[in-house]
Amino acid sequence: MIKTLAQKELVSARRDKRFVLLGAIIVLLLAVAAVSGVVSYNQLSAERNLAQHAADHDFKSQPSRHPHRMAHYGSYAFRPKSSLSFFDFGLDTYTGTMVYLEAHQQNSANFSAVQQSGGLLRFGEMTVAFVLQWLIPLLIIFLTFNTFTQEKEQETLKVLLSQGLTVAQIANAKLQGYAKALSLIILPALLVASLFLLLANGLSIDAGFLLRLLLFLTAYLVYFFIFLAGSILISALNQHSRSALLLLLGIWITACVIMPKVTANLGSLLYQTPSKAEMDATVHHAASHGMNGHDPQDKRTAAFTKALLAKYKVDSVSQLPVNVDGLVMAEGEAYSSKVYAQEFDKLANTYHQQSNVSEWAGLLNPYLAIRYTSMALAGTDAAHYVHFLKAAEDYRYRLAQHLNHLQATKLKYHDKETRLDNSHWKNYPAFSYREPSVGWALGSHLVSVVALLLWGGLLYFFFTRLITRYFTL
Amino acid sequence: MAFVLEAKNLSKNYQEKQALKPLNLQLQPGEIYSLLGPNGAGKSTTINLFLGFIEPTGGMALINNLEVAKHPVEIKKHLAYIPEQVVLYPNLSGFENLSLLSSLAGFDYRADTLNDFLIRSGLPSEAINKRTGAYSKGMRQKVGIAAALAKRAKVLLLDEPTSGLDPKASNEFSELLLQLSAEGTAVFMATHDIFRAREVSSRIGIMKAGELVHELSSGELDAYELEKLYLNYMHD
Amino acid sequence: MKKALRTLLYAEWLNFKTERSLLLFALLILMAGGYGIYSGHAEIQRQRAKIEHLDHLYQENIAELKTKYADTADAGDIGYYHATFARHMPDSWAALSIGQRDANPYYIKLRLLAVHNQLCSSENTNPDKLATGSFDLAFVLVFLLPLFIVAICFNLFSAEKERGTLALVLSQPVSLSTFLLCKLLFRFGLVMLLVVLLTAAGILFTGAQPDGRVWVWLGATTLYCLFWFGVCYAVIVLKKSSAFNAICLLGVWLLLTIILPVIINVASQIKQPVTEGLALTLKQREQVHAGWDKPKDETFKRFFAHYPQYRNTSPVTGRFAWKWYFAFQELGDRSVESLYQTYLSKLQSRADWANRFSVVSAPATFQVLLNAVGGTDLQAHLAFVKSARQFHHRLKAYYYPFLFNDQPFRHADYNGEPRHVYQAKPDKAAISMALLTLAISTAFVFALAFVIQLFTNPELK
Repeated sequence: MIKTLAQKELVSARRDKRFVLLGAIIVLLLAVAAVSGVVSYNQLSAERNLAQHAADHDFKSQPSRHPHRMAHYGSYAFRPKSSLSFFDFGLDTYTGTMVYLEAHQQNSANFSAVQQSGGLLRFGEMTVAFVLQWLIPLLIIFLTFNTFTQEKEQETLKVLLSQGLTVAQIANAKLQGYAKALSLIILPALLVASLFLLLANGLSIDAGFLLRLLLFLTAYLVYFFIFLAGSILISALNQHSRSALLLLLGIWITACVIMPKVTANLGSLLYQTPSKAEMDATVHHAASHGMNGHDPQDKRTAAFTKALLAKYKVDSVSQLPVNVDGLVMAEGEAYSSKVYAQEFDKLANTYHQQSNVSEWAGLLNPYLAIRYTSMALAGTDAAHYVHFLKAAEDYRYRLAQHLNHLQATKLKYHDKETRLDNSHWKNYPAFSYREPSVGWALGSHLVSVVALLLWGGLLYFFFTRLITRYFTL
Repeated sequence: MAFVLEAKNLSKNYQEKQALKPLNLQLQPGEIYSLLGPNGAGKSTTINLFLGFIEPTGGMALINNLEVAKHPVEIKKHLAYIPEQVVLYPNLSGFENLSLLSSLAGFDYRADTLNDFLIRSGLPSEAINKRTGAYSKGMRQKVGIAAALAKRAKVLLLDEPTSGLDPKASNEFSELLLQLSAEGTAVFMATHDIFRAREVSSRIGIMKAGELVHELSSGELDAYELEKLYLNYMHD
Repeated sequence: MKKALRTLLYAEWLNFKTERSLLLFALLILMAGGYGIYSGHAEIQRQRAKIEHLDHLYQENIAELKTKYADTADAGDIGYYHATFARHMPDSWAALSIGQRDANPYYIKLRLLAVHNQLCSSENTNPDKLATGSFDLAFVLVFLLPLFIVAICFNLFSAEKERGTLALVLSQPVSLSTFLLCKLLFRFGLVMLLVVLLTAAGILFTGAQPDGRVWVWLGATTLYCLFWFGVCYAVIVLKKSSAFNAICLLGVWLLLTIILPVIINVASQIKQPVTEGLALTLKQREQVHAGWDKPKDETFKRFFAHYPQYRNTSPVTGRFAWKWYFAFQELGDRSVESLYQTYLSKLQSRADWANRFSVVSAPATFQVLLNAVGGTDLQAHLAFVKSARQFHHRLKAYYYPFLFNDQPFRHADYNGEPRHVYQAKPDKAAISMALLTLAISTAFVFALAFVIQLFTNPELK
């Protein structure tokens, strides 16, 4: 019986001109989004790979040089695009793409797309995720808002009920029927999107990639289910199509347009970000006066030198078997990097606190939950960005220390003339960034994942109960 | 004698379907004309043509010697219309609804005059200042009648006015029509109520499939004979 | 006619007073507008405070240098260790439309070193916040106001028809167009009232200068509202059901406020790629660092071609001298100058391209206009960067005589150092362009509505 009814919903949806038209528009937009995503992914990837190679090549082909010159010559870290990023750009447009890595100094990540665009960028981005997160819920609403109310208005519902069906059965049939109708649009679209993903991934299929893909599909199916069940529920509990539609559109606008902005703004009003200049000053101050403020740099250096003299049992630095310049610089670098790491963690924590307002709001708003989950899976969220910045800083620190070590061991005290040959740079490993695992990615967005599952689960278990309980003809 | 409502070869087609075959009809002041016929016979189409809500395919509808299609706004000064379902603005009181409608018709009545209209139409005085969202169908119709009275219209167009009214309300309504007719208002109504039509009308027309198939004056037949005649037409 | 108009308007007023949904919507938009004004103001106030705090950092830096170089210093050391700031002060209107001000740095830390990398550095910003965007008054006007207009207009005809009140009203001597006009007029009045209220509140709360821009702001917002009333009218005259109207209008809203601007932006990025940024920073490093290895004579020869006044200053004999160091820094700058100019002009032309195509979307045009009024668009940032570049020139002009004439840098000389503040300005050309475009779009929508009206069946049943 339910099957027959579900079939009726499917057939009438397929015959509904609105459904066909909107479905076609959405598939078209998905195609546009996928193609432009791939184009921009390829363009940006190529650009950054090329730049990274050029920078690495420049470093490796430096002639004989004093190691400290090399420390200031420095290196670059370009953030590689994650292969799933074309699916969901996430924050990629708003994050810096390149960090200059030099001794003594932590530079900002520069050249984000938003700084290179006019105001139109702020209207949003045409990505597969945008279509899936914004437009498919809207399609679901348009398709189902009057599924119960129209039957109430035309009194066909009374006929169905007089056949001995319960409201719960009718509701379940509708859920099944519309799920099938939607899958006619969504499944081919998701398949095509997956195909693009494969292409973007260079056709290589590894376990991590497949897992991400699978989680992507699951997350979005849960998201669509939330809207489908919610929309049918609201249609069942309303008396008029008009009021059901207005309520659903109101929910959509609040969930997708208004609330994300409000929570993001609230976050940044509640937690203040220090400016880069302030942060630099703090780092500088702490490095020169000591983290506790009573341990100035010159005193630290003197103590360090004294300990060194004692260790090697000599009276002056020129008698040391190692070059004290390199060691002092290494010591300074270690200290200032520690200070910087501390400040950077504070900054990252501020960002995290700011975004947390929105993430916790995901418990109220499934759109926010899917947004963070999707970005996490695509590797385009703030956590991945911070991860990259830390990797870049880590590389910078190691490189600087490597060069300090060379200076300490291969050069004499106060030697500014000696050049080390090219082999010292040529063999130093270039910066290569490894994306963290899926588990790590989702781990930093547990709230969102739980919110999504909670919404899906609650609607799944209480769908028929709510309808049975609150339904009125 | 001048006619206040007239149809000259008035017809209406929807694509292939003839909703109204050429109709010729004249009403003098004070006349009450009832149009009988099954659903879909073309009664409402005829009324809508006189109201100018739809445009004729052929011929013309005249109100007070003015062609409806050419003077859609002007003719409405001369007619009043009470639809089958009188629907008022639910958030406004009966008084406010009447005030709005009569003011749109170009009249500037004082409050007590408006109250008189409502009382005369039979609206209980305690309901006058309540929101019409809570009114019964009969009460809403009374506000509609009050609006017609307030307009001092020459022609009253009624679309199934008594359907859904209880016998008492229906009877009150008939009496009001006769009273208006005595004052010189012509009434043109579409109805299913053969007995009520026989009772109040001066003339009766029977309509079938868009065509006026029979016309008679009410004195010709008694109610029983009229019903037989009507059913005969419907059987063919 | 006049009387009917008055009566209908009065009836609308009575309805409005009693219909809770309309009141609720109006209240919501007022609240959103209030929050937008507050949060925009908070954002700009924070920027102002940060800019003010820069002075503290600057003085701290000088105090530290004064301790480090107790008597006099080599100007080279100061040029190397001393940082100053180019500041981008927001316009008084910036809080009402934050535009790109949250994405672009509002100050640049500058040292005497090669300038281009310094100009490209960015500020600490939470990318998540940037991606979601500002909740300022401009957001409320550009995005939410149309939704409000749609919400109060979509069923203005269909509801009367569906409820059945239409028949009674139209059996009165009132034409349908008068009837619709009154309803639209009433709603337009309501919307304008809210617009004026919000604008006034915005100006008073944020302290925006009440100059001619008040009229530009109100005029543009009026045009924008008219545009959306035109869109609503075009859909209403189709005389379809309320549900159809709601879906149709939301679809138009989505198309105009999201999909079209997004597509234009993607197109502008594909059509006008800007790769010079990355190339620039790589090249500058090569050029500057090559300075260490080039013979000093050659460096000075090239340098003196630009600064003949220092040609006869004392020669550099040792391994290192600051004047030589800064000479090759400057030569590094000069070698990437043309690349940098290309970079700027490409950014400019990308934004111009996008702005030109924003004609197809009134919301995009309106946003461009509001950002131009607030002096918060990319244009304003580029002007600031240019001014910061000029400031760097002034810094060099101040320090070079110390360096090349081997003049000691005394404590008093810190006071003579040039300072920089750039005051953001409204972009007049962009404003008039956008205003014109908006007027044309509005006229177009009304023409479209009348054409639709011409071709739809005038019958009511």
